[in-house]
Amino acid sequence: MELLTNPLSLMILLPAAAGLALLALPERFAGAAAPLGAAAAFASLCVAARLWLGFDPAVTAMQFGLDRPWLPYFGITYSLGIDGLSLALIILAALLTAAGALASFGQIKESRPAFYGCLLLTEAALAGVFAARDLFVFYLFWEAMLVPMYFLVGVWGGERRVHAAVKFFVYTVAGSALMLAAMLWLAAARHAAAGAWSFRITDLCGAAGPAQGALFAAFALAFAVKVPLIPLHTWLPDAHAEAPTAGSVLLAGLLLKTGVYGFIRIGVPLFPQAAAAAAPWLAGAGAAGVIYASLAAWRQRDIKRLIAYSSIAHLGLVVVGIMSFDLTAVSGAALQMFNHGVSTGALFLLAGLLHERRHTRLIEDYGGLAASVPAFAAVFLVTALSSIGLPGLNGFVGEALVLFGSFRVYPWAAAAALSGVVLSAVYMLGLYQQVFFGPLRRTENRVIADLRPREWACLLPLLALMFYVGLKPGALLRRLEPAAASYIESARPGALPPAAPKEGK
Amino acid sequence: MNPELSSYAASALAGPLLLAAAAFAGLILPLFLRPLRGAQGLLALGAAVTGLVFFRRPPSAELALFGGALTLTPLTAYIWAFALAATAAVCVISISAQAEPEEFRGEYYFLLLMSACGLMALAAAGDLFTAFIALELMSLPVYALAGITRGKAGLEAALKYFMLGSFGSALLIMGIALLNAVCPSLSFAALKGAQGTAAAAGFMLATAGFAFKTALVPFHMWVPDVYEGAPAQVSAFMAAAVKAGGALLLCRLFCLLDAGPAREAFWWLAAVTMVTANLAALAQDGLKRLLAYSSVAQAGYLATAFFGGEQGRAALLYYVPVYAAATVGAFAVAAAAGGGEKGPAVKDLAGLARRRPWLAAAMAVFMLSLAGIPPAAGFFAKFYAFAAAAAGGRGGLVVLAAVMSAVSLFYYLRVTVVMFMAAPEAEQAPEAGGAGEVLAVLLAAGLLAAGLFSGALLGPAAAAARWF
Amino acid sequence: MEGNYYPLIKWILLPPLAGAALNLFARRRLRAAGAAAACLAALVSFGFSALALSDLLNLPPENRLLRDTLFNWFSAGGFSADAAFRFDPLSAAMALIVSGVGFLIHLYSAAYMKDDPGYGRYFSYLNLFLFFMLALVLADNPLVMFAGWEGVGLASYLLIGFWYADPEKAAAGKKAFITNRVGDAGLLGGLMLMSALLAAQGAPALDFSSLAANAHLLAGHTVLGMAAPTLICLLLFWGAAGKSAQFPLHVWLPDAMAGPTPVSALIHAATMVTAGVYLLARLSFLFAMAPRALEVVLLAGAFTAFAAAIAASVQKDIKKVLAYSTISQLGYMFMAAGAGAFSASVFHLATHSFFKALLFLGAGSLIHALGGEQDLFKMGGLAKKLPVTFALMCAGWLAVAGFPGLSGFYSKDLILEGVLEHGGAAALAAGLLTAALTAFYTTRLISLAFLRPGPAGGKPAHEAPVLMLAPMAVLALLSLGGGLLLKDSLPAFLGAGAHAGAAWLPWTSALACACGIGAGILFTAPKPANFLKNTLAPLHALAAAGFRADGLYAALLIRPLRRLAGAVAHYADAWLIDGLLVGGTGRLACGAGRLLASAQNGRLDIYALIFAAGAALLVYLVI
Repeated sequence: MELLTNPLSLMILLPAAAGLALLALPERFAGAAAPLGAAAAFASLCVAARLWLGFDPAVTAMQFGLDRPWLPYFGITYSLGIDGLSLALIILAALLTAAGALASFGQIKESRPAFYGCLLLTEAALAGVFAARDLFVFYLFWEAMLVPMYFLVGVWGGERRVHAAVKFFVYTVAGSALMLAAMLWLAAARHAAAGAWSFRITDLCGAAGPAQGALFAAFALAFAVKVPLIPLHTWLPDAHAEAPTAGSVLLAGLLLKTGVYGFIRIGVPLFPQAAAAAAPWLAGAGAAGVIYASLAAWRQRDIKRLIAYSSIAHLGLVVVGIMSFDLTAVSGAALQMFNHGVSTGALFLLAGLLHERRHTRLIEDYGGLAASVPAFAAVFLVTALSSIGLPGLNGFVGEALVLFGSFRVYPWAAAAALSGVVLSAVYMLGLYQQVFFGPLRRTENRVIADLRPREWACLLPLLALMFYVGLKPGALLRRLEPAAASYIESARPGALPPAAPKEGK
Repeated sequence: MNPELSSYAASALAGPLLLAAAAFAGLILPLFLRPLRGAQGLLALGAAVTGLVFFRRPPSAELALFGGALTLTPLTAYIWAFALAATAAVCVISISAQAEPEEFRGEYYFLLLMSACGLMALAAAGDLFTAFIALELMSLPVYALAGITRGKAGLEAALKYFMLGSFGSALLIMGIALLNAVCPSLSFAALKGAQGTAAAAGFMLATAGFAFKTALVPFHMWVPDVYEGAPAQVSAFMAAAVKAGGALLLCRLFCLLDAGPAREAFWWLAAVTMVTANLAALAQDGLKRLLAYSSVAQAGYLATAFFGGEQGRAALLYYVPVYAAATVGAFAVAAAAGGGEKGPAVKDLAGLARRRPWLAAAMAVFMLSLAGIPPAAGFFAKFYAFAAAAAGGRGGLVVLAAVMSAVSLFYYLRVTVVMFMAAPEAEQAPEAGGAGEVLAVLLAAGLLAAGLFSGALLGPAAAAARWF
Repeated sequence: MEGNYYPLIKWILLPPLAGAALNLFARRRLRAAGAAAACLAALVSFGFSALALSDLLNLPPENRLLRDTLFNWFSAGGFSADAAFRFDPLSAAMALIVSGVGFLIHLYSAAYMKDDPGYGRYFSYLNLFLFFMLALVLADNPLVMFAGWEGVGLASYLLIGFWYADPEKAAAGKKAFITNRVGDAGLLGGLMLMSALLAAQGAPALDFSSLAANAHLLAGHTVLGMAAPTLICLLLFWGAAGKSAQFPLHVWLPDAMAGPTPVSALIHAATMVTAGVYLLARLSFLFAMAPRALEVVLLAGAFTAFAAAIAASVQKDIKKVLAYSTISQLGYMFMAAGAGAFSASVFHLATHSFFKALLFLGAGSLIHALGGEQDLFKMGGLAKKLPVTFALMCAGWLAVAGFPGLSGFYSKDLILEGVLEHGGAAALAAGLLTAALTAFYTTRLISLAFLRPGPAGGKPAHEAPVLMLAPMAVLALLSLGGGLLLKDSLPAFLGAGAHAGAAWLPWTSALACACGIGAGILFTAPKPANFLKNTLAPLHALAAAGFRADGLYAALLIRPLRRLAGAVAHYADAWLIDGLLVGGTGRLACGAGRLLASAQNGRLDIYALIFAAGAALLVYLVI
């Protein structure tokens, strides 16, 4: 029925079904788990491509809409719909899951079916978060995506994986506890006012009465933990460093974006006045985050922790862009979310491949790799440059748009974020130099293998994207700008809620 | 009584009568018939399952029997179905775990089934006095069941449970006596809105009595020791069926009270329970002891649902079976995992995922459901309960409940950490699972289904909620 | 959008990009062919630049602008940037210099790097540099220019750290990139402020023509207490100082000598370091509106020129002498820009790229001949062994010293006239003194290396191959005749009005040159050199270490930042937030749990007591 024909709901159901099937895979088929997992990931990628092709940039309303009453007793409807931003993030989810699945062939040895199952379930939940139009459905996927990620980090992670997994799970759920209470308070207020339950975001838009400040604070806390904003970020370095490669790729590439996405889709439209009042503070926190995280990244001795801190810096800049409510800055921030997913995803893939060869994450164990693995060094250099925002690569376009746009609204925050341009070069080139330049002292570094065809397969699409989005971001920007415009429109206090979702194609 | 109603009454009453018959048969027949000696368990299970199979949808009418002592309503039908299901589940665990010594099997199932009958009578009680009798019928067999293993811990548990249980019943009787002065018929309809200090005091004492059964703080002190001492399947029955009965009566009492200090008392009961139980659970090492505190905390969430008006009661009726399934499942795993007299410590589950992957997966679903993490049904249950409470104007309580369930995640996760992420000391080969494991997997699947298709369970719960 | 559409501009840019890609991907198979392809790419660029120049000259002087828009790079919310290129007199001059000198240096490198294993990789980076530099000078809007700006930073990073196996060389590359990045942040800040102010007044277009037209809109605003144009120009100057190694961001250039010598010649003498001067010239309409900013540029330029000249006079390493000389000459160009004589600065930029590249290439052939030796005091007496190199370097020496009639004399004279006309007495004095010092240290270099007998006299030293000498010869011709050739045509071409300077100025600069040369010859003799060294010992040691700028920055900037980062990473993050706050709450909850659980002591009477107390409390609540 419609649940299977609508490509958007298929985008959620296909990976979920594949994930569950893989989890239940009997022991004797365990060997086939990796190819099956990769195949399912590619199938979801095709569905995502179908979404991209079917998406009409001219239409500003939500597309691929699906609206079926699920629990009418509490006014809960299973309503989905995407705009440009959700589309970009769903594409990113499908892409990074496929890359992660492909890269994990050599790295995951025991209970492989469960690993690929959890990977696909995470992708399904992420697609759900980005497609949900009903607050209940959003919260359900918001919490559900933590479960498979918790197992990914906890079971297949590094040495301190258990500590990292539990901290990640409890930290995020504790952050979201207040959001649950605030959401119910809001729905109850609407229930009292309109006489009927509804959790549809459009219906709840005007419902927040005088307690808007506290409610927004609760939502903002949950999203700030995920973004993460300083000082709520300490779960991130542990989780990223201890997660397996595919886990880190999904964690950095997407789970962080759900926080920012939460602000755009839920936090600001529901509480425009409170958001407008809190925006300067959040932008300030974002800008401080850029400097704080860059400094912290500089002194890390573990490659994955360094990349994790760089993610905090990048996301800090995105928050400055989001909170400036300037069309250029918000479009830039949305683009930067996609770019960060691509470049940091690639960085974690590369770190994973290094770990697969040398089984260590400490920077000082490496040195002079450019001589022994030139191709790997070249790919890492391009990815690092994309991450620090070299013009011609994707990082620059997003960064420039955010800086130029947010400067008009928050000159100080933009100026502080500008320092990120310098500090990012410091820590990223510092990392590159210690790992790839210098003499080839250790014998183990001399004999490691360069990139194999399978590894090229999962890196090449990301590299191509870095160059393509760097030179011609028009394709993405044309779809992101309307979404940014409607977000800014919804942020203006007393604005009309966005139009009802257009029926699916 | 028109004929259509009376035919329904006959078929409805068949359920408890069948159980009672099976109980007596299980007790007496093995003396004569040799083959029946070990099969009381199957007999009890058969009775419960047939009761469930011949379950007919109740007409939406109230049917008074025995002069109003028992009233059959869709609510009672819902609770009866739940009671039969819970009994069947406990029977399955009892058959596979067989904690009770050989010669006491007859008595074991007799007590179990009689307690189930007590619960069904409690649900149908039309007035407070019948409720008291039904409560005693439900509790006394469980006092004995707690000590069935004759072990030191078992006997200690039984003694404590009996002593404190009778103390609770004494309070209940005092409450009823006070209320009797105000309204002789003690029927719930008549008691509605009774005024005066005597009535208020009576209500509070009755609340204390029933709160003991649902184990709300500060009446919960017995729970950890008794749940740990009693065999896992008996603890499962206590946590699921007995607590459900208590909660039902508490909710009935709550409906009788109009707004005022009495309702504030309930507010304090719920709040203190959630905070104390969740924090105490953080420090537990024994699995059964942890599940005990968890069940106390869940009673707190149940109490939150009282404040939601009719939708709150619907949420309560949805919450009870979901919570029961998760707790019974968890105790089934505790029973299957073995461990000493006081049951397995949490760290004894180390590496369970490699030894018995399906059992570990089921336990993970139970833990996530109790913690209220989607996609398990526990999340939906907590969501409805808190939504109704929020609509009832109790925002503060909802915030506390949300925060406390986040805190609870920590100790629920510790169980999954040990099972999936900790390496077992001795490398054991994967063992074959017994009936308990199959039940656990079925319950886990049920929990996932009750989550995604929660309309299927919420519908009847909402229909039944109108008949409080 | 005046300026006629001219599709050929892209053909100036594309060959080097193709060359870079070809060399990078096919470097193992085609060694010599790859180098030839790279040189060809540079030549083709030069050809197309010349072609475009001739088309430009056919246009009437007031409409000399050719444009070529490839595609819309990105546009969001009213802020858009096209990938567009322009060819006007300024970019024509720069394009010709970059591709011309670039081609000569490519030829030279073909011989110089012949036996280096990374041959293909070298040419790919060199071509990549050429592409980014051309993109920088041909850009039609500040964003494409910024793209070229950072691109050349990347290319210089790759080329300085070309022999990455050596940690110092890699560190030098990183230092160059990061110092450039500090400058780039300033440049980006200036662009952000300018675009924000312009967009606020409804003129968001960013291409240079519209910027020139809308610049007047900026005049009214004050930001941070100073006029908007002044702040913008200061930020732009900060960016230019980063790229052109002006004080205080000059520390990276002396270390950049770690790269191969042709790289130093191309990037750190002729082209990349002049990007800052090009930026000032390109945005001259903006600087014209900010006299106080121009004042700062003038003084900074003068100070840098003078200080660098002193430092150059005491260096031991031949390439370090030339590096500080470049910083000094760039100081000259910034002085000219500061005095408003932008065309004079571009003219000096042109002549400087000729003789400085020549000197670097000469130094390259010296080092090549002596098998890597770079210390002047280990050379000496090479005039007879390397006659051709010596002759060519003399041309470069005389040109840079400002010998009357040669290119250096004319371009430096034009600058001093501009400064005189602008009325900066202190700057003028510094300029003349620097002119003398310049003559001194170049003479010292030539005499120490070639004239004075020295340890290298005995050892065999073979002359450089013809492929290295030919480009040097061309550069020598340009150094000698360049001044006369371009003296009048270049400023006129760039649109600056001819003006008669004071008559006495040429003579005084000639006098300064003569004194410098005399002192140079005199003080390289052993006795006087020691005498000089002893009397000015403290100054000598200080200048030799580049006024310990590195030590200063390390102490004032880098080490405290590193300590702050350490504090952030280890204390604030790991201990305070993670340990105390997050861990704390966890421990607090568990502690409370243990406390509550302890009440569970198994004593029945306690349970009953709590039970009764609870019931009593309930009843009390209600009554």
